[in-house]
Amino acid sequence: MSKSGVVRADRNSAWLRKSTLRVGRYALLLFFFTNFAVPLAWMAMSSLKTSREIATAPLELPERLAWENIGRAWSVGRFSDYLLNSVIYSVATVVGVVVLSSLAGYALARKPRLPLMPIAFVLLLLGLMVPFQALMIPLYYLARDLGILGTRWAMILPGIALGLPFGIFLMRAFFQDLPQDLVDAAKLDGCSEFGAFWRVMLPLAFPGMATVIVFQFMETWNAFLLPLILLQAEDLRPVSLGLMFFSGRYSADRGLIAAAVLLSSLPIILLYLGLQRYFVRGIVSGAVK
Amino acid sequence: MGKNRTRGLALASVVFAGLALPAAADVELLVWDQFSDELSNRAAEKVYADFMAANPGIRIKREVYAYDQIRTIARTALESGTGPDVIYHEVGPGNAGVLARAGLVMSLEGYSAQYGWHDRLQPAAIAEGNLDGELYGLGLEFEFFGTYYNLTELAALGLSVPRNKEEVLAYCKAASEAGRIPYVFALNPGWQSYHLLSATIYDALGGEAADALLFDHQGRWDSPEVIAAVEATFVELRDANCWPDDIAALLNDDAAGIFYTGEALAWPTGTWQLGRIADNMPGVEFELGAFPAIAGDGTAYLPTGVGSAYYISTKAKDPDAAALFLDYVFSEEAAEAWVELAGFIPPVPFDVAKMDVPPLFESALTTLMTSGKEAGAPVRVGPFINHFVGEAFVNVLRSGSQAVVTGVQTPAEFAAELQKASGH
Amino acid sequence: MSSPPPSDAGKPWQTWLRQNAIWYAFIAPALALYLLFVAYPFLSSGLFSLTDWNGADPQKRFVGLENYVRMWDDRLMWNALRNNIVLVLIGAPLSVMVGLCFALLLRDKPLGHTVFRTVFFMPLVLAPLVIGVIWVWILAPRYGLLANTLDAFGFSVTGPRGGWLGNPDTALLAVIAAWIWSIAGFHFVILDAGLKTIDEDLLDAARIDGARGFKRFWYVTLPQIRPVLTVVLVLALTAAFKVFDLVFVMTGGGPANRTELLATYIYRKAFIESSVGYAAALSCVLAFIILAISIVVIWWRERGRY
Repeated sequence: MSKSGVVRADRNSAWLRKSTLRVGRYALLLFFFTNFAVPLAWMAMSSLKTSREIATAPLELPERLAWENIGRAWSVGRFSDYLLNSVIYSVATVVGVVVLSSLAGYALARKPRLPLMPIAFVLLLLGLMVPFQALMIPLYYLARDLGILGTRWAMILPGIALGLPFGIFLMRAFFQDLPQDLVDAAKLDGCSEFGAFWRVMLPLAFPGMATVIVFQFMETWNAFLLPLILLQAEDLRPVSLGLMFFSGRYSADRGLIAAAVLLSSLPIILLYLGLQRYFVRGIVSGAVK
Repeated sequence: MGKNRTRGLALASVVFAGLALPAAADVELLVWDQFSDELSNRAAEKVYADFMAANPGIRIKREVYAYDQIRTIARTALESGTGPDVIYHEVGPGNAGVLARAGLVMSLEGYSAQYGWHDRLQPAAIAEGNLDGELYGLGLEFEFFGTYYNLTELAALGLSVPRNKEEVLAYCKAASEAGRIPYVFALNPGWQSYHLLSATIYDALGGEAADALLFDHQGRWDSPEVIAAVEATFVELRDANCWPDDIAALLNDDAAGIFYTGEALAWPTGTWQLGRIADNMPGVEFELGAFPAIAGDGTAYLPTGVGSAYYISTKAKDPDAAALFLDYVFSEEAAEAWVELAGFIPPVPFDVAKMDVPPLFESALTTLMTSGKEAGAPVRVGPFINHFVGEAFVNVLRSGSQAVVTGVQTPAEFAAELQKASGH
Repeated sequence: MSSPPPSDAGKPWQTWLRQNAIWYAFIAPALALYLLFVAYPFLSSGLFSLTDWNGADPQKRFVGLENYVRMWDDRLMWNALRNNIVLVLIGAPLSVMVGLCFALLLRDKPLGHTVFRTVFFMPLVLAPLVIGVIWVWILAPRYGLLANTLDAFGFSVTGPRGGWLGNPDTALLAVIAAWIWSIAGFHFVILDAGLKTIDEDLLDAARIDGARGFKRFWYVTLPQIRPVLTVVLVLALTAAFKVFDLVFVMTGGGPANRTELLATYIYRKAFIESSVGYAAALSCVLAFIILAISIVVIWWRERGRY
């Protein structure tokens, strides 16, 4: 650093460059933000308009808040039923996946070298990579032959099975990180293996379980292809499917459709906003496999 | 496992299983139909309600689907055994034919003998419900494809209904210069193409040759006449600004909206829209005639037939109740509801004089009555091509029309694909 | 491993069994369900693909590799494959780049970063169906958001002939745009976590050495997140091959079959046209493609590890 003049010039140009970068950064952020937020807001706004308004004045605010769209979507659109179904499937599947993958994950973590364990592990690994399309056709006929096609079990049992690879991997990784000494200590105190699992390890694995819960909940809530082929009766449809037939049937009433879209997304959006941390964590752990 | 957890699981499974069990008691018929718009919905509700009133032991549970969605899940639903007992599905070997071949819908010959359907229903409707000569479905809406002209708007612009190709081109020019849409048409998702091409291909080939091609497989789909028909329909009319710019993206509902507001002066579509048009455009004068002959010798063709038909599932728990239901749907009593509330023309005898119908309906009936079967009539009756061909052919019709009108494919290429898909 | 208790001398395998049975009990329920509903169907797919079954006949007729041969001549299959590849080659890298962009822009937590973060990730919690409906509305030629916004800024309103989704030339691109929108948040989140693991000292050293932003990114940041980037890329590539819901809802495969993808084609063949055997063969090919990509990329990554 030589004369003060040069230093000041350096600092000025540095400051200029930095501010330009900062402005540029915010400009870009705002650009992306608009692209992402505006469609959602627009859809929400459209749900409070009448069909005619949507067709003639799509960009403007509604003249009058058409709350009846939402009311109609709820009742006529049977959204209460669809939401109930979605909740049933999601809860049942999540419970199944969490329970089974905790057990299995623990076994794979503790005793990876027992006979059959490595094979099981590889099988599950393949399950992570196989696309659903390769399974769906035989799955349909299997459900039919088992007599569960068209019942809720057709959605729940395969749903659990499909969620197991991810769940087991996650729980296994979690259990592997937990120290063995705690188990040994518990056993010295007289616990059985299962007791040690139940009382000591499982409570410590709650963060892992939370991740599985959130991830599996999201997967099941938004599942489309599985219910499309395995559930036929309208009574059993979840929100993800109900919306499709609803928008086909009422295609002329756009305000109603927008309201239906809003209703189907609101629960999961609220859940997301509340539990954002876990959603993100689930994705990250899943990717780092 | 923990005892509490086991108990919890057992309770949960009982609850879930219980939720899946159907209610007992009455015979319940699950009916899937496509009457989703307000008018036909009202008609269907009335007919079904009247049937239930007359047959207290039978309860109808109704589910309504959009026209093109019912195809995507009909098969899986029927096969599962928890699907509909009665389904209103598109006719034809490529549509309901697939279901019949898979053993999912039953032959109605027995019930027809019992109830006398062969005698009561119009032969054309019976023919369309047949698959390989055996009756499987009962078609409800006897419909034809023509063009609705908004006479009120035309008069305001000083235009008249075009009758031949030159007049059509002149009309399109004048109408588009006046800032209006000469003919609104929707090619999204594309099933609308079947009807238009049924008219123009028959125009180009002439009734006899076209019948020979369609039913006896004599001749070819890539013949110059067919290519000329496709060219006229999707290239020449497009270049003359007859069709809206976004024709390939317009949904049927979009086209309807454009016609209702008067922006479009004419809408080539079928009598299935009649009720809605009359309802949405009160006070407007219409002409419902054949789509003008733009290819061939100038004879216009009126594709007629039934769009969809009622079929009974082979897995229906009580097919007799289903047949009883169908018999009512096709009774003269029900016909009154179908005609007055929905604007349908059911294929059973009914006395229109006793009914309260909009002028448009009578205009439609007139058009139907005055079109002839024999050569020499200015307007002749033809079939809907898509009802008599296979699935692959239907797919080509749909996607190929979009391709030609957007310039992706030439009419010759399209015709070649048709020939290939026809399997002959 | 703990040694067996001394009281059961003489029957070692029985002791071993008694001790380890619990572990098999742990894994049995999961494995049973998995074998029944995942492994078995996967194997059945292979078997189905060797028949010409239509799903209804009680007998399945064995036809060997005929279905795979038939695929070769099937113009629609190549069409679907080509569309899928376009989606993969354009959509996957772009979605990763957008995700990376987000991650870089939101590094060091600028003002409002929680809001941005929330919004960018939001599409992931929406059902593909919802995203499809939203985008159909955005792209609708007359009442759509895009058309009207462009109009408000003075640009032509109907866009290419047919609207973006109705035009065979632009439909696939429109679908790709919707897909990128729906999945970029996923990549963003992972890359964001990856960026956090970067060694800050190296960055500071580079800064002191006078390296400008882009150079710093290229020579310091990028190499360090290469493993994460690979993971994200694999995920994006395989996801792009599996796309179904979005296309099913937005276009149903049209117009002119220009948005038909392998997954939608398989569905159509199996569940609408009743060509179950053929569809099974198609799904095996798809599974093979996806497995191949995963294995190749992972192997390449492990090899490149030093």
